[in-house]
Amino acid sequence: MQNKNITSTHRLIYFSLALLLISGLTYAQLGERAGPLNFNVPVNGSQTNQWYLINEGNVPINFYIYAEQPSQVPNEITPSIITVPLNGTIAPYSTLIVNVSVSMPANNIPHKGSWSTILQAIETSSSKSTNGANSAQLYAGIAKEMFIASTNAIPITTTTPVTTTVPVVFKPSVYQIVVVISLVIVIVILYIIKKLIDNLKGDKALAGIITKAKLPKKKKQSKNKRK
Amino acid sequence: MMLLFSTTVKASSYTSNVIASVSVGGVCFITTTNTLVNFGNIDPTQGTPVSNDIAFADSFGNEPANILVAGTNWINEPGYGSNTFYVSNTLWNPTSASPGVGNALTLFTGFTSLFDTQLQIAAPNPSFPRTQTQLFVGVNIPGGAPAGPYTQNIVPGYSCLTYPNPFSVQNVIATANVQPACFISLSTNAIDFGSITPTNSVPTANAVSVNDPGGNIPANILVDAGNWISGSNTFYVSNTLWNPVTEPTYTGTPLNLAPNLVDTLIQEPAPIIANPTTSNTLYFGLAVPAAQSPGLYTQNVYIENEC
Repeated sequence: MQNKNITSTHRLIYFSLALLLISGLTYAQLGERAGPLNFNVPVNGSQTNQWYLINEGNVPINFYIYAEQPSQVPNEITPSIITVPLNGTIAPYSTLIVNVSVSMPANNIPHKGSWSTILQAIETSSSKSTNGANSAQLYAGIAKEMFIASTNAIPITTTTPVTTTVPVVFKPSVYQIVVVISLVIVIVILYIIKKLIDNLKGDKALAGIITKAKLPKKKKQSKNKRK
Repeated sequence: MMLLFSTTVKASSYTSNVIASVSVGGVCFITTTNTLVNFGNIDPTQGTPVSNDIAFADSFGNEPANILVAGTNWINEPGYGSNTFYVSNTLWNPTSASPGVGNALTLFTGFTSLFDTQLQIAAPNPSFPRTQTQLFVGVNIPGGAPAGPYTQNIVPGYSCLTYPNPFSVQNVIATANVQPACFISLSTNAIDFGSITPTNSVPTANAVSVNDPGGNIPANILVDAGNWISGSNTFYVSNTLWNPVTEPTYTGTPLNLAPNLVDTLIQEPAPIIANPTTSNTLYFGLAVPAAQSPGLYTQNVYIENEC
């Protein structure tokens, strides 16, 4: 009996070792060709770029793609992103091309003009260890930046104040009032002075006339006297 | 008297054979019909099928010849640096084959270094005055090979049956354009936080090694996660913290709820041929909120390289 138990244990050990050995011989490592995906998309148009996913390992990689769509904003055009495929399998030692297409709707609603977002290719594995406890299941993935620009876009304009001609209402200050009053006073004073002067001039003229009337006439002296 | 004599004269001919003999030497004269092999764009760690052919022809010989081959190391094309990777990354095969199937090209150091492929080109004859054969080549790009255009000289040769000294024919120029790329592998596919009671926590010391096994440019490490779920019970993702260094306590940056990747600001160094795998470590910790329902909870964590 004891010998049988030892034999069973040996078999279990050998089987576990065999499993470990097999797992070490197979591996899958997801990769991507570097560089962001840049799009210049006309209104009512689309553009497709290629995203290269690479399997470095000797077993297939199952994956799915998540494309983060630019946030929808009311009264603004937002591009849409489509990837083909959305999921699949990358064969060992091979590269798979994902076609990423960006479409720009057509109408006369203004555009923001440019957007940035991110694509994710996430490796899905068939099993994850849990060990019967709270566990975080880890997923390896590859992320790709996307930059989208809209050509011939109607730009969004910020609202500007409307300027109209408004009659200027003069509102003089206290200082200005004082100055005006002072000027008026000065003008009045000068007017009075002028009047007085004029009056004085008039009296003098009258006095002169009267004086002329009262003064005797001087006789003319003969010219012969001296002969 | 007239005597009449008659006689019959018979014509006679004499023939004799002339035996001519000449000794015709054996000769082979091999030329290559293409002098350029372009492997195109290739990612590091990837290989092309061994299916680009180098064609050989014999139009003047009269005996078979064996095809020989050797080559130089791969080197950047002028103006693109001085990076190099070894000649043996080029494979040859007498027939078209899948990536990685074939014989490693050896380094050319002189005529005597030409390797006999045992691929034979048949002797021409009056019925077939021109014979030909093909040798197939492919290339594997080693992990960590810097991006850029590379070139290699493949030196074909031949040796005749009766005159086994090797001869070389015109060089074949091979070109390949190594692409920039990055990869990811994780040291584990799960973190076991064990059993935790509400209001308690696990230090941010659970390590996950994030590797780039074979890329050739730096990569940024991004991370996000889902909520913790056990049946209909959940608690929020941000109870999981990450940190670039191990901590003896529960401290670090809360995970974002996916899909909302955050840049950890940790950059994987670019691998090189001498060190084709680089790595960085993320550490994780967890706290369980007060009054959380009991159960076995799991959370999906997404760790991604971006380049």
